[in-house]
Order: sequence, then structure tokens, then C-alpha cells
Amino acid sequence: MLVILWLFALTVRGMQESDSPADQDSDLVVIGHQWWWEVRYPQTGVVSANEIHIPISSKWRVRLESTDVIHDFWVPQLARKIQMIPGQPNYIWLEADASGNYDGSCAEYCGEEHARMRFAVIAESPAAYAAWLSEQEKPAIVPVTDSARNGLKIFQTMTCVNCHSIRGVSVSANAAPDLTHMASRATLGAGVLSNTEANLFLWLKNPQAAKPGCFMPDLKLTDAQAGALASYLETLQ
Amino acid sequence: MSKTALAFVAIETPSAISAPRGLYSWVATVDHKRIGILYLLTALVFFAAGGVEALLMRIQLARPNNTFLSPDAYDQIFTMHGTTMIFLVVMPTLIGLANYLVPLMIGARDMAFPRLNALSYWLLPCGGLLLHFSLLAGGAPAVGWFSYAPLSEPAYASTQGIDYWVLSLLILGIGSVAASINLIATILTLRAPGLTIRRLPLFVWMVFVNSFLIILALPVLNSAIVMLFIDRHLGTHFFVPSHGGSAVLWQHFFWAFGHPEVYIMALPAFGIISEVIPVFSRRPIFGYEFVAASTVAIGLLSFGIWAHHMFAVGLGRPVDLFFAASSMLIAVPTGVKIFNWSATLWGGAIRLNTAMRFAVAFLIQFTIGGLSGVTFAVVPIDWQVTGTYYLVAHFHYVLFGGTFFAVFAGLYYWFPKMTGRMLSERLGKLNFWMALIGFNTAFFVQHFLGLMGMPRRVYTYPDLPGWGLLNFISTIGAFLLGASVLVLLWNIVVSLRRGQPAGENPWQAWTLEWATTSPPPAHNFDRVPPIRSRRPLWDLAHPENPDPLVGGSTSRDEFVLDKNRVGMASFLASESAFFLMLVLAYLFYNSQPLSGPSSANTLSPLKTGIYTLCLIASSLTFWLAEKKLAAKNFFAFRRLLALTILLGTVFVLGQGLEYLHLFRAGVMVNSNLFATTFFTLTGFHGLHMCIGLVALLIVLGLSLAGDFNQGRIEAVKSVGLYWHFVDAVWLVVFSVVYLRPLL
Repeated sequence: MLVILWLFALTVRGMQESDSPADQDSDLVVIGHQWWWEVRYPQTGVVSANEIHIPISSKWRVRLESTDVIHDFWVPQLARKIQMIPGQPNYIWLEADASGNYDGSCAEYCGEEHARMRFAVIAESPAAYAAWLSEQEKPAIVPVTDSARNGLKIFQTMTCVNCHSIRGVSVSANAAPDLTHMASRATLGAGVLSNTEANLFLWLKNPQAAKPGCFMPDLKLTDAQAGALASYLETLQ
Repeated sequence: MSKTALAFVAIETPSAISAPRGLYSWVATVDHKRIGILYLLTALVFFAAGGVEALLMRIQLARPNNTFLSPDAYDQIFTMHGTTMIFLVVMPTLIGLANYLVPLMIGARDMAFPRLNALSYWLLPCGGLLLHFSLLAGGAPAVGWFSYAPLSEPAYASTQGIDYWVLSLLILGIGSVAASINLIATILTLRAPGLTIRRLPLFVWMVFVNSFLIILALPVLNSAIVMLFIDRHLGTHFFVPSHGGSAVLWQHFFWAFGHPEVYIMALPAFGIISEVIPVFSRRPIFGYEFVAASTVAIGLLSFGIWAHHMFAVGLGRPVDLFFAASSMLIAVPTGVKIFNWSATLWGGAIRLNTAMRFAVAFLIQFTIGGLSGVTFAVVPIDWQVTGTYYLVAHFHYVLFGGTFFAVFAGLYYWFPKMTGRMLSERLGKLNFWMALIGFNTAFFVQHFLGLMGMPRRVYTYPDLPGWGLLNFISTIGAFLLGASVLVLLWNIVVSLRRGQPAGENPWQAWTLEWATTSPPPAHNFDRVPPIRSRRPLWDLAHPENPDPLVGGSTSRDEFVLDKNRVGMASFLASESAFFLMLVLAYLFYNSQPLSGPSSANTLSPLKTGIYTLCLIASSLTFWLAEKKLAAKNFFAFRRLLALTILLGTVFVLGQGLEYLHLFRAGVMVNSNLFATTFFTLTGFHGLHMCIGLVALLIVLGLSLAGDFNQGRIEAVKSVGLYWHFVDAVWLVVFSVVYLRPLL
């Protein structure tokens, strides 16, 4: 019984330190989708995906939502685990003491690609974070090469714009990751492939081969189309 | 000690009984021993399926980024593995053992309701086949065994897998409840003379408490999956947040069933251990009363700790702390048991055979699983480890290292009784060591994987440092564990043909099942030995040194209960749990104002109040009818019974008119959550009314046929209980649905 009382006291203390109140503004909103993470910075309007940049040593309040089923936001080294429940936002604290890349993943089974719904938290010095943020605030780069211009045209004329946004091109959709600065991110498909032009080409040719079950359809792009699109998207630093 | 207390009790044996042979005799059997064996064999078939599923998963996870299974296949397999192991293996195995052993242990000839017993069993293969039929109908369910909404709603799970899952679980749930009602009635009403509650073998105690858990917890699951099914087929939104439903309510409902379920899968295993350890330590269990009482405590507490599965939901600190405290508390009675078993071993003359080896391994592994369980009650730790491989390791330590090892112990212990032959100790030793090493290799490393951040239910994982190696080790252990089961099967096959004959009591055990031949005759006992303590066979073998008398003389034995009434009361308790959940769902969704139809703007309390009066009157007329029957005034009985049926019919028609009125006004079951919960609640009540009316008509028919003239009126009393119950439920429904808005 004494052991239990002691455990209980520890529990109460641990919860007090890690619980976040629900009635304040958030520094960051993370929205779970089947099977990727939408990352929004409400103060600046920056929108990204599958990668969260934070400055070290500041305690951030994160609002967690879901657009479809229940997901669970988990960065083992930085914060508690908490479900992302449709229709019921949750809040947690997120803070890193040292700079580095911290792996995160979905921890509640959410369907076919639950295993590959991963993300990274990149904690950097406040200066590096500020530099990153100011880059992200800019609209997308205007293409300069022929191939990239061609890629932009494909992006606008194929059905890409129905789901993806690129600030400066088309911002109506958020069913899929925002691509405004997609080339600045490290992975494709929430951790499935590293973000290189060759991998992006493969992804565009057949997303279902790279991530079976994901909601990006196989658009039957020709090699030329996929190549042009990949070369455009990889300029979006 | 009086002379009568020492006398054998002869059991009357109908001369016609002889063991029938052939396959059909197994299909048609109502013998609890055969039904018990059928349960065990069926569970074994599904165990093979679930085991192969486990090995397929372990092959896929043996190395990072493996492509042996597609994600969809993996997701179906882990869902089927969990569902199969829980509902088609562990529960049937434990219920099967209880079926075989309880009547023997209490000196009875059979279960209280042998035909209901056969029905309970046959629902098991039906449910199992229905679940697996989904494989032919577009794919098995792929949502995990707890089927979290909204992932299980049609928008995200469009194949019919979940529909088969729901139907299968409903059938299995009904079967388990029926079996438990039967066990409760058997234990309460069929004990041999002298076998008071305080002298019951502990296995019977655990099965008894467990049966209450089943009849109260399974209906909670049934109500939840019925709502899910209505969502999927009638377009309603119980658990669809985008239409006002609640994703969290599913979790509450599921775990309000799910946590008692954990103890449902553990208590009979505790019972097995409580039999095996004393016999092979050659001394009575230490602290019988504490073992029995802690079982009751676990049973009660198990209903108050469900939300410790939901600490990651964000329920808020007060709720989390309440469930943290209750979850820590349940460790106390469980610890009491561990202490008692260890104390029984202490100083015992231990016979370390295969059954005992498994029992000792159970003790250690279950303690590890229990301790890791306590870490989940410490909320901040739970926030890290829940939903990871640490959790997978934890519950496999409880369910495999605990329950399965106990079942293996029980199998080696009771196999001689069931078959008349001993299992080979040589193969048993091999079986044990392979299982022990395989199990711990497979699951111990998973604790570390979880702490390193590997989520559960992933079909693959990135090549992070250590992950590949630990997963590979786990896979090797799983295959060794699988091989150990093959050794067990081989042992069973060989021993059935060439095993040593067992004789009546090969272990010099002390409980009644060892007082008859092995295997026992169809009628179980020619005579039951006198019972004055917890070890009747010890007293018989050692008349010079018997156990002290337990609980005074047998003459002030418990009052006699009627098995029909006990059975019906248990059934109604189970029904109450079902209706309670429907009422709670109604209150949950109607406590805040909804747009669209509501109780206040669509229902007429006055009209329905009149029909309600009819229903109350029908209870009254039935009560009068029973009095007339007791007075053998059969004509008045039939007249009052007909009046009861008439009043009940008026009520049902009244409800029908109200439905019609609502339909005309455009209020359908999927209009909004008021309509959904209203139609679900009153619809299920209406269904029960109709069943009650059919039962009353049957009683009327039997009465016209002259069935009650001999005074056999148990059926009337049971139907009466049911009818009063349905009326009482309506009074609750009427208050909640119709009167509440008037307040």
C-alpha cells in the first residue's frame, strides 16, 4: 500500500509537470491526416508537412487535431504521447533542450499506412530557426528553367491542385501536404523516401508502389511529365 | 464427526445411460464433459490459426523495411490474430475447462442446463466461421481488435470485414453469456451435499466470479458493436465526429468491456494455478479465504479501471488520476494471490513435473506482466509506453506467459482425468523448456523495442539502431514457441495411443473430480465421497489425520436455490448491463441541445403515458395469474394470462403508432443523434417486448395443453421474471426519454 501511495504521488507530480492547459493560444498546430502530418504556424501562416521546426529552449504549446480518424502524436524524446481526435482538439507542451533531429511517429493505429506516418522534429538555435521561418514565409520560387516551367504547368493542369497547395500558385486545397517549400524537407511521403529528385520521380510515377494505400493516385504520368514535375518541385526550396 | 457426515452419497443413475459412440453422438451431445472437450478442440483449431498469423507477422517484422506482407495483409492479420486469440482461443479454452471440470469438482452429474450448454458451444464454431468468412467476402477486418471508431466507420473501412467481425462477436458474446449463466446456476444449485461455498475448490471459485464478469461485461461490448453496426448499415452517427458523434465514447464503451475482459482471461487461469500448486507442493493452499476474497475484489475493481487504456486520450487530470488510483489498487488483490501461491510453495514437498514447471513459470512470468502493468497506471509513464511494443510485451506476458502457461499446466494436470492416460513427462519436459525459452526470447526484448520508440501495429519499421536485431531475436523466439506447441500436440497424439494408464487419481489430488474413473462415466459419479473440508479425498485417504472441519456442520447448509430462477436472474442481470449502456448513450447525446428533432418537440408523454399504464397493468395481471396458478385455478390463470398478453400487445401497438407518427413527420433513425438513440433504445425494448409476448403465448399454449396441472410451474415463474424485467426497463426508458424534458 505504501508503495502504491508513493507511486501515486509520483504520478500526480509527473502529470502536473507535463500537462498543458487547454485555454491558451497555440504556437503550433499539428493536424493528423491518413497518413501524414499537416504542420501550421498560426502566428505567421506558414504551412508545412511531416517536419516540425522549433527553436531550442522555448516551451511551445501545440494544438493537435485530426481530419479523419484517431492518430497519436508521439516524439518519444521530447513529449508525452497524446491522441489526435477528430472533433476534439488536444494540447501539449513541446520543448527541446538541445538542437538535433528527433524522430516522431503516429502511435495509434490509423489504417493501412500507420507504420509509415512518421515525422521529424528539428530543434535548432533561435537564430537558425528564425532564418528557416523567414524562408518558409516567402511564397514559392518562380521556375526559371524550361523543364521546371513545364513542371509547373503540369502541376496546374493535372489534378495536383485539387489536393496540394503551393503558395503563389494555388492555395485552395489542403487534403495533401503543402508543397510551397517541399524541397526544403528531408523526406517524401511522411518518411517513406529521402527527398531527392530521383526518388520524387519514382514517387510521381507510381505513389502506390512507394506507399501502398496512400491517397495519392497513380496519375499515369509519362516519364517526361514526371521528370518535369520532379525538377520543378525540387526547386521549391 | 457424525456418522452421516462420513457416508458416501449414492447418486441415482438412470439405467438407460450408456455412452453413445460415433461422430453424430458428439454433435448431438449434451454431456458437459464432451462439450468441454469440444470447446478445447475448437479452441485448438483456432489456436493454430492465430499462431500461424503470429508467425506471419514475425516473419514480416524480422528485418526492417521487409516486404514479405503487404500493409493491408499485415493489418488484417494482426486484427485477426488479436480477435482470434481472445474470443476464439482464450475464452473458449477457459470456458471449456470450466465446463469439463466444474460439475466434476462439485460432485454434480452435469451442468444445470445441458441443452443450453450445447447451444453455448455450437455458437462458438458459428461465430468463428462467420469471422473467417470475411476472408471470402472482400477481406478480414483491418482495424485492430478494439476497432477504434471512426476508423471502423464505413468512411474508412469500406469492406465488409467489420460487419462480419461485429456479427461474429455478437454470436460469441451471446454464447459466452449463456455458458456463464449456466455455470452460475450449476455452482449455486447443484453442489453435492456438504460442499458449501466455503469448501469449494478455488478453481470453481474463480470460475464463479469470472462468470459474473462475463455476464456483466460482454453485454457492454454487445451494445457498443450493435451501435457500430447501426452506424454502418442505417447511416447513423454514434461514433462519427463530423456529424456530432463521439470517437471517445467508443473508447469508453469498448474498454468498459475490455478491462473486465482482461480479468475474464486471467481469473480461471488463477484458478488452475490454485489447484496445481497445492497438489504438487503436497500441502493445502496458503490462505484459501484470501485467495477467494481477492478474486471477488479483483472482479469488483475490474469494472472501475477501464480508462487506464485511455490516458493518451486527454481526458483531463481528475479523470486520469481517478483511474490511475483504481488501477494501482487492483495490484493489491493480485499481489495477495502471488503471495499466497508463493507461500504455498514455501516449505512444500515440491514434485517438479511438467504441470508444476508450467505453474512456477506462470508465477514468475505473470509477476513480470503484472509489474509492467502497474507501470501503465503511472500516467506519465503510460504517456510514453502505451501504444508501443512495451505494451505488446506486457500483455503477452499476462496472456501467454500467464494464462497460456496456466492452461498448459492445467492440461498436463487434467489430461489423465479427461482421457485416462498420462501425458509423457519426457516430451513434457521438452515442451516446457522450449516454451519457456521461446516465449521469453520472443517477448522480453519487446519491452526494449517499445522503450526505444517502436509503435505497435506497424507492418514495418525504419532501420534505426538496434531495432532490426531485437526484432530478429523476437522472431526466432516466436518460432521456438511455435515449435513447442507442436511438441505438445505430438505428446497428446502419442499419449492418447500409448500413454501410461492414469487410474482414478494419479496425482493423489484432493478434489472431487479425482474421485471417479478416468475418464469419468457419462453420469460422472457412482457415489460422491463425504465432504466436510476443502480436501475430501485427503480426508478419505487419511481418516487418522483429516483436515479440520470447515464452516461448522453440514446440517446448516445454504438455502436451496431453484436453478431456473438463478438462471433467469443471471440472464436479466446481463440484460440490465446491455440496457444500461443504451440508456447511457441516450443520456450522453441528449444532455446538450441538438438541432432537429428532440424528445421535447416530437414525443407525446401523455399518449405514451397511457400505453405505459397498460404495461404496468400487464405486470399486475401476470402477478395475479401466478397466484391463481399456485391456487390451481387454471381457468382464471389462463384468463389473466390472456389479459396480460392483450395489455402487452396494446403497448407494442402504441409504440408502433408512435413510430409511424415519427416516420410521417420525417424523423428517421439517421435524422440526428436524438432520433438515433431514441430508436435504438426503444427499438431494443420493443424487441424484448415481442420476445416476451411470444414467451407468454407459449406459456398460454402449454397451459392449454395441461402442462402445469402437475405443479411444474418453473417456466411460468421464469417467464414472469422476464416480463416484470421488461416492464421495469420501460419505466426507466419512459422516465429518461419522455419525462426528463418535462423537469
